[in-house]
Amino acid sequence: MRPKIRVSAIIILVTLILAAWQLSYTWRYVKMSPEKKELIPKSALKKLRDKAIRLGLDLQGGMHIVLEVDVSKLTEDERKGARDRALEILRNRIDQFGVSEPSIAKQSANRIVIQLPGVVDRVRAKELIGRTAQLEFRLIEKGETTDEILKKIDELVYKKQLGEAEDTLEVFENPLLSLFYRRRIAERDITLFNEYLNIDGVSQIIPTDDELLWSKPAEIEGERYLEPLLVKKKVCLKGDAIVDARAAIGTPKNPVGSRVDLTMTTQARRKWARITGANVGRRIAIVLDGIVQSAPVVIERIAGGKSMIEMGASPFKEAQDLALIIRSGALPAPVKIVEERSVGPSLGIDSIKSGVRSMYIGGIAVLLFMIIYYAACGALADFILFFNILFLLAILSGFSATLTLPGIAGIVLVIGAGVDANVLIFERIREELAAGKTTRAAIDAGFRRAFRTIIDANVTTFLIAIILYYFGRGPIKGFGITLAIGITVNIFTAMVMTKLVLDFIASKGIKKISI
Amino acid sequence: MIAIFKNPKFNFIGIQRYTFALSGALIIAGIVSLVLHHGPKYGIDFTGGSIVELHFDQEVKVSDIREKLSEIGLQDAIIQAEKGINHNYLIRTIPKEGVGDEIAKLFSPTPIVEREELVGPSISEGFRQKAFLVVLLGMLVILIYVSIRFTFRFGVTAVIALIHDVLITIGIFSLLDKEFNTAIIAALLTIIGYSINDSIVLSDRVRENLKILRKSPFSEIINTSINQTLSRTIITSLTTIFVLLAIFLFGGRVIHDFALAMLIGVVVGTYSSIFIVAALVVEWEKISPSRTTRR
Repeated sequence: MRPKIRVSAIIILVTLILAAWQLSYTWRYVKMSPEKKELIPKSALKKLRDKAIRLGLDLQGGMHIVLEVDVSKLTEDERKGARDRALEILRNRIDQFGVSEPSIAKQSANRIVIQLPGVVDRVRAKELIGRTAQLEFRLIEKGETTDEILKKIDELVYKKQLGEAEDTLEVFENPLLSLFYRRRIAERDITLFNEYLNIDGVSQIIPTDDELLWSKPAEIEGERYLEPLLVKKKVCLKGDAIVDARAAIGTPKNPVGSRVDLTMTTQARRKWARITGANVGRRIAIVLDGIVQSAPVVIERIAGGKSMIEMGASPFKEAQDLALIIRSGALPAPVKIVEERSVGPSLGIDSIKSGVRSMYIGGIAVLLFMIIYYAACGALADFILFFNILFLLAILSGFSATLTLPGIAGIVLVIGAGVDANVLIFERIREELAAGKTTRAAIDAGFRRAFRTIIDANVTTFLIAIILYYFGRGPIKGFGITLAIGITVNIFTAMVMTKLVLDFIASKGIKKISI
Repeated sequence: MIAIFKNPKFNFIGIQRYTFALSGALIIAGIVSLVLHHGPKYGIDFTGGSIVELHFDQEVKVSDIREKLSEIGLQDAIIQAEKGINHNYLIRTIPKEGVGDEIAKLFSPTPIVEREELVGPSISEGFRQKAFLVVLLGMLVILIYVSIRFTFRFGVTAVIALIHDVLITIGIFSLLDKEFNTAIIAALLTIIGYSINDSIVLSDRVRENLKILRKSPFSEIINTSINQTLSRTIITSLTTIFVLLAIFLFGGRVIHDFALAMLIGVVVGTYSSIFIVAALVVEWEKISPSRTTRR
């Protein structure tokens, strides 16, 4: 018996040291002050952080987004790797977004998961992520042609309304043109405007090589107005013509307005010079994702490959983001947010607090119960339970698993069910004692008989935990892994630690144990 | 020494008429509730949709919120004051990107968006299909494992008991008008894992007793085994219930329903392991005796 006890003791000691070592990273990371985090080298900090227990987004707050890459409009060939290219571009954009530990990963064939922990400007993040950033330079239809077309549509709509009206006095002239104010249309009238455009015969009036695009909304006298523009379908230059985009301050119309300066590739420069040279006096639309960002008039031929997006009174930050989006390139296909879960930091802190509180309360209840019910052996089970939690946390951090709120629930559950293995052993020993066996024989028989039951009973729960890990989403994955590790640790501590202590007691020839 | 039961000799098999009736009643009550509610009350995980939780500085009337929402065409939203938290409101709408900030902007002073969740239709459809399959997979895994370690017959009865546990839990959830989401599916799976535990401990004992008490009738062996494992079953369930109660009462609202589902499941699972599984095995044995017991 003695050498066996020694072997067990050594195993336990080594495991304990390893666990404590593993957890020391978390301890150091959590205890480190923000100032000190600034001081130590970034690589060292990253190393420490990677080895520390990570908090899930539901606990530290943040944003979880699942994007779907819409490949429906791509050819078979373009589809290949579309998601991976989108992933790279999004990574570029997010890296410059300024979140401490962003994570971007593929999910299924055309889904991408983005996680932005901490305090996130959600509107801005979505703006940055969601934009395809398909940049196009396109000629705008001549002013007079546009006016003529609008007039024709106006007449057609008026005629149509006259034909349908019961009381012709209620129909006013210029139904379409009267919507305009300084060539723009108020945001609230856009639905009506679009209704008019959908009337039969209107589409024939618009030239086939033109299409109607909207400008960005601009605020005039407290209301938002958009300019409808007839833009040529033919694209003069695309986003790949741009080598650099930088935000700057000052536009021709507004000395404090923000702008984005675009620099073109050598190849595009020549083309740009030719296009601008041939279209002096006309407007060119800079279109991003189907919205006209800016529609400057060409004053002269531009040879240097420069262009500019005027942002008007928009904040400088917006110009910076636009520049970033253009710089990082266009996504191969539009992306759509199909799932989003955002948790504010205060809710996350609430969750941690109440999660930890429930852990204390539940834990203490179990500890007390065990001592009352099993006396000294109950205290032993409690003592071992403490190591259970220690090992569980150590392995969690070793796997760089994430601690989520359901994960905390998993720990609490492991506390509750964790005594099970010990309960099985103790109950067996009690039975053997009641059958009149000596302490030593009872302990041996108790362990032997309980062992198989413990394994059988825990394997099933373990298998379920694995299913939860594989099929669950985010926080539930955390629950699954916590459960799986917890079960393994439970078996280990019961079969090695409990056994060691009881074997030791038995070897000392103690006649009566308190169980 | 404290013991809940000192050498218990309850006749569990004898009262199966009542326990079957009780289980049947619980299952039927749940099914009736499900029919009346037109199926489980699915959360946005399964229906798709957006949920926004807003925190206001002062008291706001639900009718006022609805009025504001109708300005942006969301008058059909479900608005709910969050219990226990001051001035927090949950708004559930159709799936709409950025709806949280859109709604927040309608009010002044602007409330804080505490939480925003959006589940698009393609995602919720995936969750719906997967949820059922995963629960099925869980049961299948258990059926296979138990069949290998014990007998196929015991595997089947154990899985029937699991279906019983899951059905009753779903039923009670429907009766309480609680929402069904992916976390609840996780709870159901965990219930499956825990409930089978007790059954396995029992059948381990039955297997052992079949060798020791060869002469006794089968139903008596089963009954003895239940009594022998009773203390352990009750103690483990009690400690698990302690901690689940702690999560349920103090774990915060995010995890409240998850803990509730687990609580119901553990109680029902313990009950079914003691009263249902063994009774089913005995019944089956009566109808067609297996080789092990004829021997």
